[in-house]
Amino acid sequence: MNGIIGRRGALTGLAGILAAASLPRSAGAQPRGTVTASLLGNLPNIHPWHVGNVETGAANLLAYSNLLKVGVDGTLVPDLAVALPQISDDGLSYVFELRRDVRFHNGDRLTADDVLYSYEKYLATGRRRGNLRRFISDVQKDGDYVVKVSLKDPWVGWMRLMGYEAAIVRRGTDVTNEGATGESLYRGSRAAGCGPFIPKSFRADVEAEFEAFPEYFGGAPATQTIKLVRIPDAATQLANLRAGSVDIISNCPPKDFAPVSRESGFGGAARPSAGIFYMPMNVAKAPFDNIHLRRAVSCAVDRDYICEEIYSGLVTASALPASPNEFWYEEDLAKQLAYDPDRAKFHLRAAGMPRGFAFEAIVPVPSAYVEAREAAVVMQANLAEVGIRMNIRQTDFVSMYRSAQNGDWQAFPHPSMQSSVEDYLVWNNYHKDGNQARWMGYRNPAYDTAVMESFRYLDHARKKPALRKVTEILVDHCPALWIGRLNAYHLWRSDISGFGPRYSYFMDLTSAKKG
Amino acid sequence: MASFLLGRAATLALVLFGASVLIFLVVRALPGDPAIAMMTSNATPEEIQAMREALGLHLPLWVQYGSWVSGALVGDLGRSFTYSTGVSRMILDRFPVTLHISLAALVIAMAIAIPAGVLAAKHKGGLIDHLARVIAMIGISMPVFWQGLLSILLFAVILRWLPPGGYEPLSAGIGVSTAHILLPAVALGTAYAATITRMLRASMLDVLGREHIAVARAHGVPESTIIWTDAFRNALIPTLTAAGFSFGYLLAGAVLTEVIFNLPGMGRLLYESILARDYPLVQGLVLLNVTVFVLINFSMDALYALLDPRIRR
Amino acid sequence: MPEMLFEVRDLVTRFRTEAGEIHPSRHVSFHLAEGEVLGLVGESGSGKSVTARASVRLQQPEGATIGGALLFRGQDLRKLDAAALRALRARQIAMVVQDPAAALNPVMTIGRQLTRIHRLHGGTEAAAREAALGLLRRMRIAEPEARMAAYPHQLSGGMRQRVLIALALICRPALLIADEPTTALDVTVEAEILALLDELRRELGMAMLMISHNLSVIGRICDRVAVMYAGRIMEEGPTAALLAAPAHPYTRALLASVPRGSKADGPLPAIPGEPPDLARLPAGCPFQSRCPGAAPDCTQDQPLRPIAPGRRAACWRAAA
Repeated sequence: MNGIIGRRGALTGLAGILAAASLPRSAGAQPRGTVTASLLGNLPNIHPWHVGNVETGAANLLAYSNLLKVGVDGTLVPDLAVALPQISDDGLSYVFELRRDVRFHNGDRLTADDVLYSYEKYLATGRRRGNLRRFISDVQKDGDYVVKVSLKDPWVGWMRLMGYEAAIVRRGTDVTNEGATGESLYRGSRAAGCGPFIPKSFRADVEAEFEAFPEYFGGAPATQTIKLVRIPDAATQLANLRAGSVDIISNCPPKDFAPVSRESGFGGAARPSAGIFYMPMNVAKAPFDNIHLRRAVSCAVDRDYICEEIYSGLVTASALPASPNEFWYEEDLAKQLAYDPDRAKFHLRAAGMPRGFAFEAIVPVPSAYVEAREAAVVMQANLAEVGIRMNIRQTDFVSMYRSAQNGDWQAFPHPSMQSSVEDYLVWNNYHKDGNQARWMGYRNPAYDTAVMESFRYLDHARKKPALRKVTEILVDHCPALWIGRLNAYHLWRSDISGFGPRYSYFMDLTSAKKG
Repeated sequence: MASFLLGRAATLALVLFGASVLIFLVVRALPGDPAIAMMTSNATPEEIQAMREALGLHLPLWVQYGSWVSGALVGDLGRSFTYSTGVSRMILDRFPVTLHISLAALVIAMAIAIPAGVLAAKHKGGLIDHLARVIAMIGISMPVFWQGLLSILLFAVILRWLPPGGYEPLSAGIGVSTAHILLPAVALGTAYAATITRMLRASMLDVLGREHIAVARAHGVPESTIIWTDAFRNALIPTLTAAGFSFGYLLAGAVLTEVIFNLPGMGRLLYESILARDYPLVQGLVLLNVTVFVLINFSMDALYALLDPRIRR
Repeated sequence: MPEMLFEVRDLVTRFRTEAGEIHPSRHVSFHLAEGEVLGLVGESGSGKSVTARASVRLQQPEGATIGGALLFRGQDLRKLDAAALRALRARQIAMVVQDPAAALNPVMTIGRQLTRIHRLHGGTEAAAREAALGLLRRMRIAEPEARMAAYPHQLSGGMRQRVLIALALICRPALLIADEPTTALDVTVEAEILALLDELRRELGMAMLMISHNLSVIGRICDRVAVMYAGRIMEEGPTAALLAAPAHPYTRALLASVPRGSKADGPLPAIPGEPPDLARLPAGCPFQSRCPGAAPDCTQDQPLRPIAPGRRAACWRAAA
């Protein structure tokens, strides 16, 4: 309790508060109108703890709040907490002070008991409770409005993960009821959340409707009704936007994005997200147990071409896990893995395979966010130029993960969306305790130490040296081919305001407004 | 008649039993694991195991099968892994959509195919025949999604005559409902019409070459009667079988049409339930499709008997 | 001399096949007097069936007939429009074909098939029914009322052929084209049907063009015979005279191949050599390659020429 968050962190927090305050929400004004947004992926439920994709994330943001939420640019901003938490020096203790003006949809006031109830239930029953259970040792209250979270190991990333998929519900809410009829958390409960909108109707995979919650602690929403409709094809989404049957679309074919966003009558924006497009290589198995071959692959792929020509700039090329616009990007390190066929040939010679080698890439079809198949073909051509043969095997995601878990894989290029790259992916993939580390096959105590060190800080300045160490090791060992970072991009009709893409890739429609 | 129905019911039961075993095993033979599908890659192995247990996947196969079948017998097809909703309920929700679209597509297909097929055969080698053939070729070879997108662009975006997609049931008003269903039904129906036109044309040509047509002509039966009474009814019989089977496929769900036109039908549901390894949902949907196929078969048999006195008893 | 009923002059038909153009009828001429029976005989593929059908404009496609005059009671059928032609059908010209199983519409009752023809040509339903029942009785069909409600597949082959004949005769035509009417039947039924047909023909005073590859059938009921080969009439004359003393080498070969004392079922037994390829006919006589008496002048065309009173043949060396 003696530590205080870094100055930089406080500033970001403040910026977040200011940003929230300046949102087009005016207290007292009646919510009106309807904003309809289309989603590409499935919307199987609107349970607060079953966020499995960005679509469920969008619904979650409307109906639920959490202690903190992930801001537009990926920084953490206070939500039910009045400010970012105080983090102890050892990085193990987090103290949150709750707002006192929060009401649930049924009118009940939020207190620390609701938070405790939610964490208790989430850690016991939440679908993806494993990550939080791995780090959180207990959650306690100190009076009605202070909550203290103790960790087993330092990990600032838990707050992003929490913002991602573990919303606060009113205490006593039945979280496990999966009854086929009636109101339940799966199909939307009018009483469980304290977000700006109340679930009104829900048809799995088809549509969900939310109505404004006038007593929302952030001020009554500007819009009376938000409709989420599922349109599972990007080109059709665009047609629907043009026809005016939806106001905002989650996706469009990448090549259409820039032209349409410049068209009069339409708006659009893209921003860096937590998503990454990369190709892990199985370091535990030939041929990629040879570090030179991994590096050869990394130097042989023309990321700029893939990102600009195939994905129309909606993937930002980077040879590192960090995007060039992020604080932990290291220019000098990126150069070592950047596209350079001569360097690739050098690594092939170093590996004793000057004439190249062959490997199999498992490509998921269909893949979310961007089609991996399209890039895989370019990679294949790039690699062939230095003598490396990449055989493509197309399969669906589930089969791919199955193969991965059985260790039966060599490489798989795929897009992935995480709660954060620096606070989650680097741990999840290669730290010895990471969920995917078992099948990634990578073991390195020095790396584990560097990751855990970076996990102690929220503040960029303090975090950066540790992340540089992490990146150095990753560049040195090259367990994956990093191709680029995904940008979140959406299009909307020009009469829509208060909406834009977010780091989390979730569509945040809470302040969207028409006219 | 009663024995006919009884026999058919027994066949249906047998087919369904066989199908249930097959479906059950095939679904489980798919590589991958529903627990992984639900948890995605970021889950811990413990979480995946917990999910497997929650889904009952740790039980022996015969136990899983037994509980599925005993439920299915009383109309309970289990609970969807993905949607945590009863499978029967999901199907009840989706089936009317697919049925509605399929029937509309069938009507459109028949309205196109019957005159086109008959006229093409009547004027074999003539302008109408060539025109019908070219159009049918386009209908068959133009991907449904392409045709769908073009029609959305034209009728919904440019002309703004029709909505670009979505589904409204008949209860929402016949006008609204039809406006929503028109484009997908046409997209689906034209592809279907192309197939039926070709079959009907071939079948008509076959019949028109038969001796009884020559005899009818020799006795002064007018050409229109020859075409529509003498030839068409005979040509319809083989065409109907093929059309019936195609209709079965329509009902099984036209995935692309449902995706492009954003229709919450069974095709899309089946496709996604397979990707998600949602065993109960896949099983339920496939079982329903098998039932529909068998029933269509039966009704084709009945229709056959109605049209063809040779197999009437 | 009875009055001329039907005269075909120089009929030419043409089909396009993958092998090239063929001419199933090449300048075919024949005639029938009222009440006369002309037999058109030849092997399969000789063009007799196409010729017979084309002569009454029943060949499909119609455009295949490219030349000739088809004079029915002095009126050229080729100059009639569809309606006028249709008015002649059934009442003036009718047809019986070989395969009764295929010649009846399988999805229409016998009664409906019979009565609709009668009604097409101006009868009432009751009159049509009366005529149909009478004719079925006349055809010695038991329980005609029940048969009227039956579908073709419920009848035997012989029964179907009787129905087919009834269908042709229901409007009492003046000319019947009988295209191998008994070929599909077994011998006893064949004799019975032939006798019945002959009897009805006499009763109605109807002329008949009888197409057959079976010389014994021809011999039994025809007044005159025309022998066809490769789209041409090779020889023509009164039945008895022609069968007793064939003038054309082809007719002789044909007669020689008929087994004695039994019904010649199916195609005629072999005449040495291959039947000609209609797409690649030699100049002159089409039979030259198989003819035992072939000579250099056979490559010159020899049209039918009179060789005796009432007899004509298309051979340089033919003599009665």
